[in-house]
Amino acid sequence: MGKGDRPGSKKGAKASQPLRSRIGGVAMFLVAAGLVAYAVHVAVAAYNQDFLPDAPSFAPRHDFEWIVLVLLIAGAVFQVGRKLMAPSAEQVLAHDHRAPVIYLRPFDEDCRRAHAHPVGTRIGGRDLEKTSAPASPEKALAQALSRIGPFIAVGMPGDALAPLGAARLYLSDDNWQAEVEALVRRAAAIVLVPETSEGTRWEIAKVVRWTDPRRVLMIVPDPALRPLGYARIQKLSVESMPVALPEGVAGQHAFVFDAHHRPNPLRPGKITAELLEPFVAQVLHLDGASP
Amino acid sequence: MTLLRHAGLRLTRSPLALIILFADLAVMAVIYDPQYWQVMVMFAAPAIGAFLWIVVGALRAEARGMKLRRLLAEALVANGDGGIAHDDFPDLPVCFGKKRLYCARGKELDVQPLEDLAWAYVEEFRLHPTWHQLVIWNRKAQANVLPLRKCFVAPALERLEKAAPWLPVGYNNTMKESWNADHRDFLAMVDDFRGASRRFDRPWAGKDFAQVMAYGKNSWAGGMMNTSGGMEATRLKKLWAEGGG
Repeated sequence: MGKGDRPGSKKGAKASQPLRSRIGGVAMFLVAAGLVAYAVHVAVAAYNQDFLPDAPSFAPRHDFEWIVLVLLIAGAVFQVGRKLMAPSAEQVLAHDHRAPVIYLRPFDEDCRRAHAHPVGTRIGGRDLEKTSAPASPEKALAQALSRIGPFIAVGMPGDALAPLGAARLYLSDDNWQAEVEALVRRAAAIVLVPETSEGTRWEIAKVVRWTDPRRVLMIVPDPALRPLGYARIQKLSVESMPVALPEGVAGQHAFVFDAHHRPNPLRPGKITAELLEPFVAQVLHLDGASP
Repeated sequence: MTLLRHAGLRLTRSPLALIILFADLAVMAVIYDPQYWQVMVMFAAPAIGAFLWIVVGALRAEARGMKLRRLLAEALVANGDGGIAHDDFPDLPVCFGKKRLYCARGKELDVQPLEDLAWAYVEEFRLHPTWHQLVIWNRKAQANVLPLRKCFVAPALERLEKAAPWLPVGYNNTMKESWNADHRDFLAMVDDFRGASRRFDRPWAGKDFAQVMAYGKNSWAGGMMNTSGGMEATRLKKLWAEGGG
């Protein structure tokens, strides 16, 4: 985050909030349910027409495409409903009195996607199948760390709908640093996705200053897939952290720290509750709770 | 001779035309009877169609080749690369000058400074392993995608590596992810190798072909595709602008 990372925010302006509406969310769920019911109706009707003995029509039909389209729209509407009903960080913190888990990442991370092919403008030749999936581990982190406390992140200014995963806290440009610092100081755990931007450097400095290193989980690029990204973060760690990250080992993209700030990689693998179990156990142990 | 070669190329690209032609001729030979000439004409139609398809395709390919060779000769002279041989152009769709790359892109010739190149590799289509295209990315994240025959793949890569040894040539997942997620660092790395005039030799860099699936229609006429969308497209454009600038 930081000035360079906060597009659309104005000095002195109140932070813009995404659209939230419980009624709107329920309405979206009902619309999605209606669409699914319609798709089922079309499927049953098509089956009856095609396979019953008195099936009358041999005209070309597009039932399958129509059903898939309706189901895709239903899925999208359902997701919008979930986002409309996503609680804000303030609501979550009001209901859950445990110390929060703070997710500090560059805003770009929210929309980063893993593409099947190199991204850019292709001129000539044959087009390729375009597929991509969200690359952010946020949802997996939210699930895995829910045992520690509510999962909170600062929202990206200009979000029309709050993303799913961490509960978002929308801050104005004037006070975001003070608010983030206050959150860092009271956090049960910090998940840090470091980057070289001004904002995330500031966040690293605050985490190093205020947080017990055993409460910090650092997510970095996988050296096997993104050696250049890992090298960049390793260089950053030399400049910004008491103990630098080690040379990259394939698959190791999550680090926990001991009391002396020494980084220890978690075993290679995707971010799951099982992978993060040692970290969760360590934090719960520090809080005196039984893991 | 080049016309015959183009006809041969077209046949090997679509053996279906050859099958139709010979099967049809064989049927006609069996049922030949001058009394029933209407039936013969009916049977002859597919063979005539296949023959015309081959000839017209060969003629068009030859016309395209002639146009591109003329454009290349003019561009070579204009850019001071006069003496460079280009006999196999545009079957081999790249030609290297002292400081420039000349690409046969569709019916046009694209000229780029060598120092603008960032990455090159070959795409092989999974369901049709004889289809290949050479993909040459530049610093602005724009790729010239050049279809070429399998027999020209090795010479094209060889020339590329000879003309720009500092250029990453080859594909793997690590290269793709580095290009997509760490674009600025990727360009800086290429700059380092070019600046030091060193052969690109990162141990994690792949030398493979990209195995791909075709999607939609050809984009021969300068069609463009951007695999990103929405907010991320904005982010990537910003990144490319910074990297390319």
